[in-house]
Amino acid sequence: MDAQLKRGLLDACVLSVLSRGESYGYKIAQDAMSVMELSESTLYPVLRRMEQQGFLVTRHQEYGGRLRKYYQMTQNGHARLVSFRGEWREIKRAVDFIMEEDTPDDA
Amino acid sequence: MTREAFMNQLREQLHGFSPAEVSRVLEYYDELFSDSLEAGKTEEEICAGLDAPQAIAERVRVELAFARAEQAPSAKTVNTVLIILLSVFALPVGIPLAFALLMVLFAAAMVVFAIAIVCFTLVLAFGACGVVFVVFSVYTVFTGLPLHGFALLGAGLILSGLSLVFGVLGWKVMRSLLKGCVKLMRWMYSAVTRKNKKEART
Repeated sequence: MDAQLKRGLLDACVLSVLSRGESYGYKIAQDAMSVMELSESTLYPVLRRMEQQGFLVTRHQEYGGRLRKYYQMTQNGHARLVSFRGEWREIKRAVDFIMEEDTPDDA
Repeated sequence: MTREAFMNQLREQLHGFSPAEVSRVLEYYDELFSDSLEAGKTEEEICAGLDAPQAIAERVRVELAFARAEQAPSAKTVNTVLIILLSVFALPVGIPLAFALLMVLFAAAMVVFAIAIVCFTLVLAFGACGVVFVVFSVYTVFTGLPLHGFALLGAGLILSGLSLVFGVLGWKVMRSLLKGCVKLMRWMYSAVTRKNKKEART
């Protein structure tokens, strides 16, 4: 997939997952993999960047004798998600149009 | 590949990153191993589901560069800094200039005020003379000097007419000047507030 397109999709996916509540690395990857084709290791660079961009914050919490990093969406992240939804509605129209052309026979 | 081998390879690929960044990356993938194992996978299965350590390190590099590029100060903020610096250094010149401009505006206002006073005086003088002449002309006509009287009456009427003309003219000029002043004030006010809003946004 086109790198820019995939970056946008991944960002939106992660924000959407986190809009349902804070989550941790493994769980976010599982949730995202249920809708997108990606490997388990894909998300770390994305999460790290989005943390740098101020879209999410992290905190550590003990779980089963070890520390787990939890990711939480910020106000900025929520605003980004809202603008994503607007942008993707537009893209969806174009995608629907493109996919329509693929149907071999209209009859 | 085992968990240990994967983590070692990943650590090797992360040369060049800050120690904090390296430990963040390792911590994430270590956690991923722990959670995946708990979910019932074997180390082999987990490694098969992960990208190569080299690819992961490359992705982290790219994404962090992307975030940095986004945060880098844009030309616009640099420009703002330059403008601020320039204004500070230009203060010794700027203050007298601003003062001079203020004085010019003040002088212009004084001129307008003087014109208004002149108009008002003319109206008053012509009006008063006109009335006095007209009244006096009636007296002159009846005291036996009708020609002098009519001349006075004429002069009086002319002066009264001039007084009216100046009155109307003065009134019109004053009104348009006042309107102009109000417009100028409004423009200056909106220019200042617009600038403030712009600054608040950035």
